[in-house]
Amino acid sequence: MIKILIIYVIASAIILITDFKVIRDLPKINRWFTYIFLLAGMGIFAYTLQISRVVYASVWLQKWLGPLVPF
Amino acid sequence: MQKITARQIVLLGMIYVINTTALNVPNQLVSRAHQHAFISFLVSGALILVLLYMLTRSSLRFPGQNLFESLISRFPALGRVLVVLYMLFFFMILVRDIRIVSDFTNVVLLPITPLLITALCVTATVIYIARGGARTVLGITELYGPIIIIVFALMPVIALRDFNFGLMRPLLHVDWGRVTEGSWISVAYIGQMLILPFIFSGKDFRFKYGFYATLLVVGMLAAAVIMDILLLGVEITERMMYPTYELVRQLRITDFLDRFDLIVVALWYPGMLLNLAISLYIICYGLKLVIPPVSGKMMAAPIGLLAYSCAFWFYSNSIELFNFNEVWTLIALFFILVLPILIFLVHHPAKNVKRREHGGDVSLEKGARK
Repeated sequence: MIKILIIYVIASAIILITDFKVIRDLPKINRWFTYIFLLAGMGIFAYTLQISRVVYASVWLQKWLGPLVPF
Repeated sequence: MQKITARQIVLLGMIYVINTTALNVPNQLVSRAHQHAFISFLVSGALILVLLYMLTRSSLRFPGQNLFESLISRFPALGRVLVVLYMLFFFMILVRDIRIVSDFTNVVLLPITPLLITALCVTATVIYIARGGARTVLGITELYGPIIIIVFALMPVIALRDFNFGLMRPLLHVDWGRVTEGSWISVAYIGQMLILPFIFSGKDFRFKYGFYATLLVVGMLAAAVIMDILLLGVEITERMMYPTYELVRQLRITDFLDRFDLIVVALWYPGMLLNLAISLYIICYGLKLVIPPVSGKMMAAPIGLLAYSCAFWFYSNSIELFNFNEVWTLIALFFILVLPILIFLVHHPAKNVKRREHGGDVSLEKGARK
């Protein structure tokens, strides 16, 4: 799991390094949004990769909304 | 931004709908409506045209602005909530499409490459297209839109001699209940056409462009499903994962040109990536409108990566993508039926001529009202 998570970490590091110069000059909120999105993505990615039971969003939605489908 | 032409709008609308629909919907549609699957597309296309007309009317209230801008300028709080809701909708479409395209690549083209790597490559390309902004997206649309139309137009010509018209029988005995069931599946996908008034201002976008785009898409999809049935039959089509791909595989020009499908897929794949890029572009654009200091271009990469990880959290496996279609319509109907009607009710153009003659300036409208 850690090995696969490294893919995500490298991808986000590349994004941060390439955008660093541009984002430095933009308002602070841009930096915060970047960090929030990347961390949220990493959290979701780590949760999906874990070995114990994962609750998938589509399965969960199907359970709740399934009875409302007319067909 | 450069001047937007009618052709660009029609092609963008077409590309945003056709790629995923042609891949993810036909087998379910055929398993429900059998040989009348094409009628399902026509029914949902008709419904979407009505809703598109409502949204186009609403966008004419402020002709200088697109629907996102005009909603935010007229109702600062409620407009932002609506834009955020639509951003969520397009985010879910983006997540689904990333998974569809990487699953397709994994199943058909690169079976040994891990899904995570395929999806990452797809996401990286999409991020680069979306970062280029509207100019890049429209440029690629103009390039690949006509190619996709030509490929779809050539298909029946090449496959004509292999068609078995007996497989379409009984043609006139339509089971409308099953056809409606098929429309339930397809309406959410064709409803993506409603994106047009949200990104193009009332000055550039006319209802007839949306009408042409919907007509083109529904015609091409209906033709693809009919060809599927004529070549493979109902029983095989409903059991295939990607019947449209199987249809392309059946195309043989001559004996020596084997794997003609690879050429078609190579032409179709950039269109699919463009489809994802449009979703990502819309999300970044919406974010920029909701919070003006945020740079939309800089948000493309983080949002793209978030969508990448969500693609693996939303769907447990490839089959789930197909099973989720039934419930997806229920969610999508809120965005393509309930919200457009709501927007039309509160935002339709004023009858007072004085209040209508302005290029999107809310203060002018408020002044005229006093």
